[in-house]
Amino acid sequence: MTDLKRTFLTDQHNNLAAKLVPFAGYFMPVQYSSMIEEHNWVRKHAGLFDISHMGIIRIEGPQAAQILENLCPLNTQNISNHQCKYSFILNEHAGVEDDIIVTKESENSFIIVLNAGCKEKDISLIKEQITDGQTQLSYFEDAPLIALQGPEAVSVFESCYQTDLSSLKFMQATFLQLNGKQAFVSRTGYTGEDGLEIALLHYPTEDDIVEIWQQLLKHTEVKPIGLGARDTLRLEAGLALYGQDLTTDITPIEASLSWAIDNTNTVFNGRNIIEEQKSEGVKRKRVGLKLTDKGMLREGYKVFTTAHEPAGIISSGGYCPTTGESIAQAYIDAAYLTHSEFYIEIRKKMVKAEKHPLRFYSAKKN
Amino acid sequence: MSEVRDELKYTEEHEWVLLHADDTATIGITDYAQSSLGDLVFVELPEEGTTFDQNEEMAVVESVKAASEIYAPLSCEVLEVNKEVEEAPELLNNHPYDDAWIARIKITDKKELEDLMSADDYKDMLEGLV
Repeated sequence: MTDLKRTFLTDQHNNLAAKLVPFAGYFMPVQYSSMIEEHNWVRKHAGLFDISHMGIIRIEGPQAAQILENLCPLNTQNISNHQCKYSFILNEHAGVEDDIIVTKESENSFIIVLNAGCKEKDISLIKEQITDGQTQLSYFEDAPLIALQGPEAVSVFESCYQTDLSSLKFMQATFLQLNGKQAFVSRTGYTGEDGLEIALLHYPTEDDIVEIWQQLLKHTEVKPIGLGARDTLRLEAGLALYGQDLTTDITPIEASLSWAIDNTNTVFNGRNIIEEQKSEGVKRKRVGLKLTDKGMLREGYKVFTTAHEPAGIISSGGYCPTTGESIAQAYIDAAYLTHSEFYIEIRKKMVKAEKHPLRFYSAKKN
Repeated sequence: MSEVRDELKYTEEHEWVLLHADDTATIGITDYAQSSLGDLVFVELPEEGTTFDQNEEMAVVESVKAASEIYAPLSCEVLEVNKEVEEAPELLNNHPYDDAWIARIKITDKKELEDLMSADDYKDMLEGLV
């Protein structure tokens, strides 16, 4: 395990008796107590996650906006300052190289959060585009990143740091002073709940992030939550996981994420393929499935029609703690997208599942 | 530290076996197994009357994260399965040695009893895993 990277919070996880596992090259907490208890806690209160394995970069300079518009189906003119936008780095076949959150700081400056497993590749894809010698990519390599998620997350943060976040709307970001250190705080997340993601970008030390981590955990509404519950939370919320539900062979249209594409950008990688898929349709599409027989849906299980024709494959599946059912995201062939019932092959047996909207859980609006 | 009970025999796959006088046995998964797997959410048990060879896959337990096979600790015929753990898989997390037994079996090859570990040997094995 010596080649696995630690985060500034690894000692904290050990002190909390977390179970640590290798994940994307890091030694990360998968659970602190029970995944189901942690999941339910986030749905009712507030959960604190260490997500420092994810990458954070800033791209600034004369070419910054153009580079993003070349790689991503977004239009920087349609994003306000401090607004966060869910987008993708696409290849020339419109396949997803990564799904990302871009925050516009100004016309020429953007902060981007990248998936852990993609960050090195993303950085080189962006760097290749810089030709003017002035535009700069800064990689905040050891930047600690934590997420505070759940219906009580924002109120806990406000009372912890004597601040008012009522003007920070969902998918907006700001800089705040936390214990005298500048923090990048966005109202974003990966759980289907309201919440914040907090990063220290400039010369962070272990003490800086440990102080914040411990200050937040002192609140009785807050418990530490592992990556296991993060996965069941995002699955219930219908959010895609890069590497399973999104890959370099899958386009955003196939992934049922066309809402995230800004059509006013006419130059991004793979745009002709996106246009073709929008007008002529796709070969397969990401949908939700709910198991109606007993069993547990898992990644890689094959999907069949009720007439036993091959119909697709599950890209993410598992247990849904909110309802106690088994749910999944699956890629279903276009010919069968109108079907409402499918069979799933589990250990050579066929079990029944029904099509369901991708989102199995929606947070109550305050 | 995981609980290991002196009156039971064990396998390398973290199953326990309680031997009875009439060549039958009760089997289950150990405290170490349930703790490593995490919250169990689904259990698939064999039909009563099915026969298995030693080490053949006979049941599946699924946690939030993954599916894991349970192998027959001995060649056997299944006499009875515990329907309660099918209804409430969390019993395996809460009471792995008591309420959450998995099956009662008839042992079909008594020579294989030599392959099972004593509680002391199993404890030694667990220490090696930490």
